[in-house]
Amino acid sequence: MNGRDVDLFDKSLALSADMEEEIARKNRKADTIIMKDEYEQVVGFMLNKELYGIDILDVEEIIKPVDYTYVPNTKPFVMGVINLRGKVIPVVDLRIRFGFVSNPISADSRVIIIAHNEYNVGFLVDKIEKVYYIEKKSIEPTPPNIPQNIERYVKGVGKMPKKIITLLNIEEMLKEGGSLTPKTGSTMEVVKNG
Amino acid sequence: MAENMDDMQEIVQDFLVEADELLEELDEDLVRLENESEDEDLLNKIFRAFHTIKGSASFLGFEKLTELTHKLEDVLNKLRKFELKLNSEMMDAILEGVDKAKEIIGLIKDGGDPESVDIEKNVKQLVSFLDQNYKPEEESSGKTEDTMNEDELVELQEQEIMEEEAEVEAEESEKKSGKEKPKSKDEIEAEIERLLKQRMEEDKEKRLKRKEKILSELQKKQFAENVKEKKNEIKEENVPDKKKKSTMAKKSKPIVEQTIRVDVQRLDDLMNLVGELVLGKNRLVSVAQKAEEKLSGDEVVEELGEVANQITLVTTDLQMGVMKTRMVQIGKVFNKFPRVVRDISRELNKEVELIIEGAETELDKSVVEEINDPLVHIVRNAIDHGIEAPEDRVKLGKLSKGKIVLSAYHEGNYIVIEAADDGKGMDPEKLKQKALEKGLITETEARQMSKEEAFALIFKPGFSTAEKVTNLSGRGVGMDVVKTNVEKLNGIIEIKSEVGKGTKVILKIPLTLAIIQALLVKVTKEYFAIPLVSVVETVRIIKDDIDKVENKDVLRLRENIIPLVYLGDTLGIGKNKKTLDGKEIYVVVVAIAEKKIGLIVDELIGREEIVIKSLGNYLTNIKGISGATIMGDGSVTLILDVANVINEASIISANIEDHLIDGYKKEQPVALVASRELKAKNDLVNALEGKGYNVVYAHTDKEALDLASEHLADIVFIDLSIYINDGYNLAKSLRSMPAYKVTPFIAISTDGTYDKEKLKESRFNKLLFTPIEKNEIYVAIEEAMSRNILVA
Repeated sequence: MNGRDVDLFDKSLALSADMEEEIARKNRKADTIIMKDEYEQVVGFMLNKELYGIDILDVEEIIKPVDYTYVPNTKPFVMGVINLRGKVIPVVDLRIRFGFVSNPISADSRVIIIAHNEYNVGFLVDKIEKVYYIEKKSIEPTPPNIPQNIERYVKGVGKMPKKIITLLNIEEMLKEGGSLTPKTGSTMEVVKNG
Repeated sequence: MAENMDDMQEIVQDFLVEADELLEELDEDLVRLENESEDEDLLNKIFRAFHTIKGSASFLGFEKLTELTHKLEDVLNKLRKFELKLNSEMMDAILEGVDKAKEIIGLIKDGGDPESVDIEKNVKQLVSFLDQNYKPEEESSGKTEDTMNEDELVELQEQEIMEEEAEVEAEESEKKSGKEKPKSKDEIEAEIERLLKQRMEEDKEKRLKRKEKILSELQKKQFAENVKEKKNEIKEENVPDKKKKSTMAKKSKPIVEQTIRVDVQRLDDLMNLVGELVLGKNRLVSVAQKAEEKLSGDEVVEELGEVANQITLVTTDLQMGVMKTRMVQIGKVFNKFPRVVRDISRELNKEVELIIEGAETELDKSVVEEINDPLVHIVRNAIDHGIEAPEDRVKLGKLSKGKIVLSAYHEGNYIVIEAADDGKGMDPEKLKQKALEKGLITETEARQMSKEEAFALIFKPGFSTAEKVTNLSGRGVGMDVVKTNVEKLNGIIEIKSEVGKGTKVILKIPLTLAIIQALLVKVTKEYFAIPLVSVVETVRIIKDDIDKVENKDVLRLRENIIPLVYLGDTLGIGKNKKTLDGKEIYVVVVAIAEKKIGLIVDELIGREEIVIKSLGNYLTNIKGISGATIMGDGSVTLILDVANVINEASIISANIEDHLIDGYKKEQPVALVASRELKAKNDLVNALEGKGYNVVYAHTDKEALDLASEHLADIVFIDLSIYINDGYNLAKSLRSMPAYKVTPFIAISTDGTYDKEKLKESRFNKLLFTPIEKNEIYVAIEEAMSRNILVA
């Protein structure tokens, strides 16, 4: 909901350099008005030295890593749960999720709190870059050189003048959940042992 | 128009609520009526209830319901005027009518078609009572019901037809409901029925007139009898009867209460808010405590303490208040039981008297909803398997009428519900035998089983002691349902039984589900909250108290043998963790439903009021965890799913001694290095390995705590700026582990800063600054070691 609260970031980031460049370019060409619809706003972050992006509408806020409580019987990438103003929110180590080597938490580490549909999950990332405006036209389907284990969570690659950004499919990432025994598992246990 | 619809909807809603209440009361009243069929006040009350429902139903256009309640009303009208005498066939028909009415109400509620319910048979039966008894009142004196002679019947029918014929046409055009009814094969019968229906709608004068006629012509004898009976009653029981009636009257005319109906959702929301407030209060209290520790004596701190105390009081009151608004009397559930008992005992040809005690005991609405089903199963079971057949009972020297006592009372934050019967009781040996035959337990298990454990066998799925399977119980699912439901409520089941004397099932259930009392424990580096309702007791033992049965750890606690298990193992976090001191082992004895085990934990923290929170959609159905709560310091603590932990415990192979620090042998000394700086880490590792240490390295505090319990280090190096909490806190946590009470700790400051007080508090032995020289390290080790000896 409050994902558009750009104040969370450095004010100068609100309009990215790329965006400004783009505007300038367009202005030079003609008096075209930039339609917001033509752009996708994404929160860019670094993970394993690569740039990834999450749709800003899915981002509730960004926090520094806080103490978390480990939850037993969850998948390895679930670090645990944190208390965010009275709400219990699971935190996922995105490095482990994508099969990279886990890195110690550093001064740059951040947790992106995702609010998507009924889900509230935090993603631990190496570093937050800024909010990018990606022209929708420039988003291309996933190129084949993306590792297989990540491919299914990628919805496309955004091309910017100087770099590319891998856009994540939040829906797909949240679908599986973090429990080792989702839904039916434990009742079966009960039957077996009861 | 739309507004009209809304209004209408509202009226229907009100009607549904009212009808529900009336029907519920009816069940109770009708069963009472069976024993007190002469009670005029009761009859009037029942009559009025039907009348009220009929009125509203007809106004709202529920035709079937109108027709049905109309017939019921008519029968009751006759009963209350003593023109009919109640017999059990009649009672069955009336009760069936009430059931049908409930069915219709249910359909209206669920948006179904209320006219789809088949009431024809029931209505016909009800009408037949009215029909027969216009003339032969002798039936009401208890003689057989089909002695009505044919002449009378024909005469009556003819008379009716003549009387009503004129109205038929008008009626037919008016009442379309007649057409909706399934066509009866017998034309005449259908005709009579329709006419009868019409006749019912006429006013009562006609009936009275007819009654007089009937009485004078045919039933003088009966009348005389009636009068005699009445006289006798008046003579013999004049005073008590009057008393009885006056109390009845009081009951049926409740004092007008000052109440409003509130949407349950609003109460739920309110309860959630109170939950948040409780968390806030806990936090305030903890802050106030901290402030006191730091700045004791300060005026502001004292004031803060006072405020915290006051907020605590108010919050507790508010919480109680909101909880109370959600409370309903358990009578709401109990009142269904006279009917249940009546139906079951009739079906099984047993005589059972039901006694209800403590119906006014209150508990949370959500709990009440869950408690009904288990109780029905328990009572069914008691009648089916517990209470003997009347002739057997007489042979045994018992009263032919069996007794079931349903009672409820409060005990702390719990409600205790008991269902006791005076039947044949349960034989533990027989139960074991049965379970053996069914392959539910092994020979050894059977031998070691206590009486209580044997009783608990009835909760196993697939267990049934009845030789023959009746349609009520004995399918081996019923008691299993009881267990599941009670577990869901975090409740405990206990069974007491004595052969020949009876069985008592005791349910202990928390009053509310949202805010609970919990016992906080620590195991490995994690804290958990165990719902206090599941905790039986806590005991401190030493390692020699642990016995072995088939290579499983058990504890002899007074009479009982309780399986012991390390809590960490049941949650899958106990592997290789050595956290227990054999001289001081803490056991939390927990019970869910009928199972009891001892959970071994590292530390008992204390008791706290916690607010249950969900882990959200991403973490659904986590094994062993039922939810989370937020503590006063803002950290999240997980709530144990005790039922699951107990289940898990039965398949664990790890033993307690795997977790003892005593007698742990290692080939070379171990050093634990916890640092987030690679440079410092590398320097340390080099130096220590040169000294013959096996170095384990952690880059966060959590990792360090895990490694510390796995390796039992001889010396620990802690980077004060380690993530996530700092090095001081890490040292404090380590010091609380039995293996690290006196281990030398060396602090490392990477930025030149340190807090002397905190260093002392965490009992560091030495402080180093980066960059660290090899020699510095060796000297530090020497010093720390020697100081360690002094401390010891």
